[in-house]
Amino acid sequence: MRFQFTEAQEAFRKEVVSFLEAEKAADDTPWKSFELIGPSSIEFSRKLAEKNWIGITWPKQYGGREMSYVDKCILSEEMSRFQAPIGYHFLGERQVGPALIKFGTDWQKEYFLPRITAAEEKSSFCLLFSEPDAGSDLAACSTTAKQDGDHYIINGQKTWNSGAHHADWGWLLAKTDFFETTPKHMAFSEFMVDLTLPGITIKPITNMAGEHSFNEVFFDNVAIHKKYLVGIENMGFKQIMAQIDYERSGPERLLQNFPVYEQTIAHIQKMDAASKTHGLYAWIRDAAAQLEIEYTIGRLMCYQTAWTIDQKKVATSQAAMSKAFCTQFAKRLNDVATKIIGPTSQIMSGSDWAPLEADIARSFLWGPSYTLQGGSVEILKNIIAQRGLGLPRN
Amino acid sequence: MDFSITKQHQLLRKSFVDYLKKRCDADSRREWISSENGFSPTVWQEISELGWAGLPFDEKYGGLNGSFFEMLFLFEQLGAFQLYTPLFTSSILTGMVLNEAGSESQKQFHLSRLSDGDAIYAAAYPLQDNYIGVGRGVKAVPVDDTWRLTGTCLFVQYAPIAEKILVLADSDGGSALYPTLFLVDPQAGGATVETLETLGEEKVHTVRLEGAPVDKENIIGDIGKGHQYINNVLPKAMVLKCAEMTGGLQTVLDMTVAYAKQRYQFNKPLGTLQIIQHYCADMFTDLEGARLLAYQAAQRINDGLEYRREAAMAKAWCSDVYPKSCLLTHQIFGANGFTAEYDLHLYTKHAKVSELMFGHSVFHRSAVADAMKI
Repeated sequence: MRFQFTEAQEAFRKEVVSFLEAEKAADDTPWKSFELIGPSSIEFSRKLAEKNWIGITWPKQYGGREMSYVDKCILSEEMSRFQAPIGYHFLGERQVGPALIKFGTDWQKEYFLPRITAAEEKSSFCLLFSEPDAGSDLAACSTTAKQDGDHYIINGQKTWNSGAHHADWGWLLAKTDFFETTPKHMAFSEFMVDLTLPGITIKPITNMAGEHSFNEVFFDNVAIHKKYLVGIENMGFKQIMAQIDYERSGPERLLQNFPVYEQTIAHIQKMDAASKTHGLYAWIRDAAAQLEIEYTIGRLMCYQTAWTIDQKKVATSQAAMSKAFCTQFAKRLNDVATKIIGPTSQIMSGSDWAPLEADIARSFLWGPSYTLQGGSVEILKNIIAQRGLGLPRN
Repeated sequence: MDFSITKQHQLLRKSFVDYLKKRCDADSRREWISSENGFSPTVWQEISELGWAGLPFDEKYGGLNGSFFEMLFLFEQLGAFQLYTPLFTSSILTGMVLNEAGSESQKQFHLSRLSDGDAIYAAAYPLQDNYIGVGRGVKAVPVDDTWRLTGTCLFVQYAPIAEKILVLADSDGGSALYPTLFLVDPQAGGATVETLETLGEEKVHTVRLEGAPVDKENIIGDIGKGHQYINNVLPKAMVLKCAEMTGGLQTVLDMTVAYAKQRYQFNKPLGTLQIIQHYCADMFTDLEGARLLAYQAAQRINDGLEYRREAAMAKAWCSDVYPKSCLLTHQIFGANGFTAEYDLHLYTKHAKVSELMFGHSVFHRSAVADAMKI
């Protein structure tokens, strides 16, 4: 048992941090993000590709470095801490690559994996899972993929598709078995869809923060070649579930609004003597210390899950716990920060009166999404109870 | 980062569990708790023979020279089984302080007696006072060649059978800033022990000193440096208390999950209800947080790293989640859990007593805030 990093891990983190410090200083666009995936910049992703920092856990034959998930956790932690613009390769690296390595055909691996690790043109992915009537109950999806010769014809509607307006490809879950007696989770397949195909319409959705981050995606007789089917037909649901642990447990869940934390603590440290003698100050210290404790636990949970995956052990309950804990922390942080900063915390950045560079107001408005995206806290708690504690399903 | 537990430690932990499972069944435990001194002398002898009492001490004092990890795993299991013995007060609170502050001959004499369990020593520091006021309860005045101690110590465990009581007393005539450690012999006069009724199940006492004599040989460490010794040991003892709380919480969760599976209402197990599943998931998450923080602090102690900030985090978190989870689980157990017959209340009481020992969450969050420079 050792809660410190190895020298090699510390050296790797240092290398990542120096790189990010230099890049951040050189970038004219401020690095700021309130969402999980963050801004998309093919130029920045290319720079990471040059460092061989995309797909570091993948096998060497697919352009990876066979580094551990703990190493990956270190890399992701720093990317999130700096709010680096990693949106271009984020889902390709996190979702698509590992799925193709496990379930993909030789052609799929040879075609997509080098493009993702090199951040080439046309290698950015979005997810096409949720539908208007299929949220937490993903098995209620009704988008269909009907085989027609060498093609599948896609019809239906997806929604809440973050980054679909930037992405080149979609990772689609669609129904491929239409027998009424087939169990729901045996009726879906996974596909990769070129988003420029005819019949695809992407419509923006404005979120409550007033921003366009996610979309609706419509499919009207979209024909995709069967070579884009991933893994085994009708096993899509199981394939997703087999893959979901690392996706859930990444430190980006803890850190999506990290500047709010950093700057709130800095704000408290700089409070003047009069503020510190105010009765409220005792509560502020207590609240900040509680955040620090929760942040520490969240971070340890992320690393513990990564470590468990490195040991080739099942991490399903652990990953669900980590995600539930971290997203609740991030959401609560926004709320606590507004109380610590006070009335000015509601002012959006740009105004002279906005208290912190971190823009707590905007972060607060993003908060409700944290505990929903990629599996709501409630679904995660079901998984913890059923998979982690063996409580019975209905 | 390495979250593994070595094979050797797994085996050791299994040996703790095996013994406790075999020996500490619910009926026996009830019998021991309700006995005059609140514990089983037979069990005490057995675990001393197993080396548990001497775990923290060097082999030259008859101990096992155990690592802090070994103590962590032991106390986690003692908490899980709610086995009450003099181990914590005698070997940890008293023994580890003697080990820290005692002279070679004092250590040779006292620690070897504690190691083999022949003697039980008690600690009388104002632990329940959030540290504030340490050393204010008892005054020590030199009279000829001896010191005379006067004052009252609360929450002293195993005092009626303690051969010696280690008291932190104000020895500088009033400021209480530089207290000294005195090893009091309660048989030497000037000491009375009374039971202190509290909400807890593990017995505690009031020790009243009225001119209790302590000769020079029984001053522990340098005069006026008592705080220093205590401060080097108590945070470590506190991390072991966190381990004990973690073990207790694990048992509470296990009991709750077992109950939720077997208890039928509305023609189905309680555990199929989503609200019950979510309560259990919350408790499990809180427990994992407690374990991670307690293990982190213990590992830093084990490896000789600075650990006070991590220890404060662990105690703050454990102090919140253990009582909270107990109260939540009472909601699941319904009236059954509210009965004296059912064992759940042992844990609820242990949770509250442990929360208040060494400082509760607000106290330790204040220490964390200090470390954050706010």
